[in-house]
Amino acid sequence: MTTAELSADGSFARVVGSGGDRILYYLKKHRVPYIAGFLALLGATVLALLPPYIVKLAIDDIEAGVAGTLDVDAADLLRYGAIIMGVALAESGMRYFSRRVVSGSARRIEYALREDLTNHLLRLDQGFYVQARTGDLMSRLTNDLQAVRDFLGPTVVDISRSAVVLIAGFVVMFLIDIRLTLIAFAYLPVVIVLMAYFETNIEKRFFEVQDQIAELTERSQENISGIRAIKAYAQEEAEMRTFSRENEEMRRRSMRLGKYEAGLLPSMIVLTQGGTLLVLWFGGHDVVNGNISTGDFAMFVFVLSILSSQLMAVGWIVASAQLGVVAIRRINEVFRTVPAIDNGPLALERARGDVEFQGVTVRFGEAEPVLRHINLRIQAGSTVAIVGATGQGKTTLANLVPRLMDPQEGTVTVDGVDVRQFRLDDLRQQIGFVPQESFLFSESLRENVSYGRQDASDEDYQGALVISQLSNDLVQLTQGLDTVIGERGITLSGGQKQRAAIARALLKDPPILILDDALSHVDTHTEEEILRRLREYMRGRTTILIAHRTSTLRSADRIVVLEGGAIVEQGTHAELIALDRVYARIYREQLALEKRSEDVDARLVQDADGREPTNGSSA
Amino acid sequence: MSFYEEEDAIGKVYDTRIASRLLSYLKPYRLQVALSLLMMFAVAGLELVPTLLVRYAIDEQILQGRTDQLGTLSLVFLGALIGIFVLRFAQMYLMWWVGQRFMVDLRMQLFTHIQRMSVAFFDRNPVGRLVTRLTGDVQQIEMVISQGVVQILTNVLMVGAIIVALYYLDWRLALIMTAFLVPLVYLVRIFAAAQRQAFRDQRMWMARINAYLNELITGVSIIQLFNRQRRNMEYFDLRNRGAFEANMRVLFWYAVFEPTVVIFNSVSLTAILWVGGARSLDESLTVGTLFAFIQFMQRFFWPIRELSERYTMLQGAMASAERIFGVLDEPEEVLDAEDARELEDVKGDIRFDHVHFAYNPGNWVLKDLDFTIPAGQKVAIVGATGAGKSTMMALLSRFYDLQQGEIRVDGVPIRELRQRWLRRHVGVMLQDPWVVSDTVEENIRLRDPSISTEQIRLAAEAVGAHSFIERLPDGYQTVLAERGANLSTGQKQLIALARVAAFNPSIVLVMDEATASIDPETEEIIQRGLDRVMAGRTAIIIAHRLNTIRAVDRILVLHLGELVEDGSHEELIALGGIYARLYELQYQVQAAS
Repeated sequence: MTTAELSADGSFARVVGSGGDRILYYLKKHRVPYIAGFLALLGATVLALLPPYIVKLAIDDIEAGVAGTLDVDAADLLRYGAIIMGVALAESGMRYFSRRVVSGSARRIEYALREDLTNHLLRLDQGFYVQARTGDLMSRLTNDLQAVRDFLGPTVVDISRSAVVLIAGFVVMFLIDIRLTLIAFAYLPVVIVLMAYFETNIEKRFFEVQDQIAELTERSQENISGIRAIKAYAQEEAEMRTFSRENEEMRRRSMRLGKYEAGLLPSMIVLTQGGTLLVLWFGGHDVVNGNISTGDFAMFVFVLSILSSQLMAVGWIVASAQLGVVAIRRINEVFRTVPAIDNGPLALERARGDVEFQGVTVRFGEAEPVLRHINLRIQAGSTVAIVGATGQGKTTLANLVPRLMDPQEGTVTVDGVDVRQFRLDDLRQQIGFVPQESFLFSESLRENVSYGRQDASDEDYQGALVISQLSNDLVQLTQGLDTVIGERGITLSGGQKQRAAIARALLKDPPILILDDALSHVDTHTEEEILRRLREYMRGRTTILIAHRTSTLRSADRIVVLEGGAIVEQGTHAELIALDRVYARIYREQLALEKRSEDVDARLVQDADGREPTNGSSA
Repeated sequence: MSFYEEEDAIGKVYDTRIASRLLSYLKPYRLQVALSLLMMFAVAGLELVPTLLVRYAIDEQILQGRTDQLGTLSLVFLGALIGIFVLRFAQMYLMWWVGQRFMVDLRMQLFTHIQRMSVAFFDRNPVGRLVTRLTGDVQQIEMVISQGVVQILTNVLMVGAIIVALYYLDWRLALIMTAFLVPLVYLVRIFAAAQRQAFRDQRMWMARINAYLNELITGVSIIQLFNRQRRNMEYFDLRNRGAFEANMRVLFWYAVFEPTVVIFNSVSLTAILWVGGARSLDESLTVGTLFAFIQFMQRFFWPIRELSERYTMLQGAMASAERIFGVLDEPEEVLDAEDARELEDVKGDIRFDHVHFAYNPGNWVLKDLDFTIPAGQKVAIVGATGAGKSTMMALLSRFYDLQQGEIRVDGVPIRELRQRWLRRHVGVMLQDPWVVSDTVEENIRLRDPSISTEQIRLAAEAVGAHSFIERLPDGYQTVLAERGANLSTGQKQLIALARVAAFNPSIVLVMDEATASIDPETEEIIQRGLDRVMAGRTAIIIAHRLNTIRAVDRILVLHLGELVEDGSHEELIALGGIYARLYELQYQVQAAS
């Protein structure tokens, strides 16, 4: 666990910035129940050692009674019993209380941490998500948090109890006979060394097994998601061979772990019972020699059995503590990731829509910049198309405006103000964004469309639905807008999803509209319909289009060509065609592709046997 | 992934049918299991020895003022300890071994079965769910076999051995002790039932949290763009709070269990001191026996406590087994005929003979498709989404069986051909190129050892993939990232094309849709590669956009599962039907402005 203290300035950003503090912060917040719980635990543990002492008294009494040196009857023994029951009641109460209070706090902390983590995740930028894997994040928020909860709850309780039992047991025995106590505890260092030996070995092999589980998961995932290809190429046998190898490797690694797993418990049993053996030998002589009473002897054996049951649990406790420490580290890693995007101070009601990039450079990690020194002014109300091959930085450029990420150098401005100056909510409210991958939530279509604006009127709704052509799809859905989609509902086609994503952006009524290849899954006819209606909608709004289609390109006021992360050309369609360089080439190629259907003629048909196809209309 | 599924939250602890089916997997290892069981009995007996030795030492030595046998007793004690160690270790290791064998067997059986399932099965089952069956679910059962069973049985045997020992020592006092067992068992049962309910709630809420988290993480940029962090956090909080409350209920039952055992413990101790002590006073019970009773009762409650903890483990394993068997019980839908055959040589004639097909009975996706494609012809299928184009392709690979009619290749109905053989000769270029995290070379040959490195290179060269592969850090040996993340979509498609070329099929099926968001330059290379792959083969290409139909001899127009137009481009234009209209539209788009 991190030992860093809560920072002096105590600001939230600082706390988040060094996540170890977050867990510590909650521990401090819950210190009263923790301390109360520990005190109760201490009491319960000490009380638990009273019965052996009472048993000693009873046995000594019985021995004296039998020998006739003391007048003892059943009522005396019942009195001892009554004390034991009284002690047990008190002990039970304290145990219940301590567990309730400590584990309860641990669960409260778990709840708060999960809330904080999720909140934190929702604030992290694209730079983080490009590198993070969903499965990994999820397991941190579930499995790891549970491990932390167990660590802060039962594990902490058990560690303290083991310590207290050992100390208290030692003290009680010490009071009776120093020599015998030392003998009985002689094996303790051996137990510790042995446990360390097993734990390190188990841990190492456990991680080997975990790695292999991950490997198997990966293999299964790959196999099943590609099953159509595997079947199409009849490669089931090859897949089985590969999988079988991994499966067998899993067994081998598990067997290496098994050797130690199987050895741990028996070793512990033997060693802890060894204490009883020593007491039997030495203590037996002591009683006969008159150094201790029979009752003392019985008490030694009794206390040792309590100790050994406690020691037996130590293996489990250590394992759980290890898991907990690893989990804390993994959770802190997430907390330590400072959101690169922070809130600005300026409010923004409704932007005019001037967008400008000034000397913008973006790079992910150490790699080559994705965008370099971009200077671009987009006037309010104009439409700009961004053109370029895949991987030239078009999407990155679009992501900068709503601050899904910030550039490393340069500034992006809206209405002449650096976007970092605006309140994040306000800035994003200005932008209708349709991403490349249309993501919808597993809720009703209505919830999804109104995602950015709940107060839309029916008229607004109709407008957005008609422009996006989602209205046509609604006819097919039995429950219309109330149809639930996603995991618990029906699956929409790629085109339908894109149309819903467009409707969602339009309904927001934003002054700035960004369409990132938003029509790639929509069929030609519908695409044309959408574009035609969009032109209307775009009037008076700043629009940034990332597109390939020639008709879309032509309709833009200005075209910006990206290549290798830099703007290589910009101007109107006519200007760039006249320039006859990159854009003209891209445009012609695209046009050629689109016009291919025109050229399905005898010439090309003959060409099909392998000669290079002629470029249809490069004139 | 399926640990989000709510179905997972529910599970029985014991189901005879499932349990006996699980047991059948242990049959090959019955000797090992039997040996392990035998050793468990021995361990249970041996673990009584130390306490009995202490009793003997108290009664026969210490109280008699003698020490002459203490040495022997200590040696016997030591011997018993060594015996316990050896037996426990051997027995645990043996069951671990069995558990691992079991795991390998079950997982492989499941994997093999999944490979045999038809595509319809994969339509029904999400990837994550099947992955969980193969990993988490198998693991859960393996854990019960290699650890759980040993612990549970040892504990049960231990309780039994202690009871026997108690009766052997003094039956009257033993009778009182066993009387405590009745209310205890009753209480444990109540606890178990309450705990089970609480656990079920807890898991259900966790499943909900998981599902929602998955959505939040995958949709995080949408949440940010639409300023919905607060609103989505509210939804999340509902689930988080639900989980917290369920957690607190679980905690209550945990917290209350231990004190109960403590109280039972003290009641039994009191009874021993009072009843047993009184009898010791009149010397009808020795002090050693009295003490042995105290010791045995201490041990008595341990196993019971542990048993309740194993309960969850058992419950989880039963649920896992049920789910795994659910998959194993899915019948193979597309089967090879008993006399399925292979053809010597494939020319590539394709005949759809009055084909009817429905995914769900009554809901026809394809209606009376009837046409012939002669060997070597190149055909484009045109139609709106849902017209049945990809279904047609899937049928030709026999991913599904027809309800009516027949598909013939070279005049032979495909259901008379071996499926795997058929698919080797029908090359499919899928919409979404599948890439595994292995070398480029293995991605092209799909780990099929019969395809040589030379063939791979030639195929890559033929489709124009060679030059980009050469430029990769390790050329053909470059290991691709998960889902080909280090390649562009275009490059993945080129690899898929090379794959088709390497497998050298007689019939090529191309799903064209995926080229939608590729830039013109890459598109050009892919188109050229496609031409090469289709050359000299019967080819069917699904063209989502008219502009990707190139160099075809013939166009089939599907509309709502029916073949409505069939002919060359000119013929269909002249016909003035659906195709002409689609073409017109496309043309207008380009002519505009």
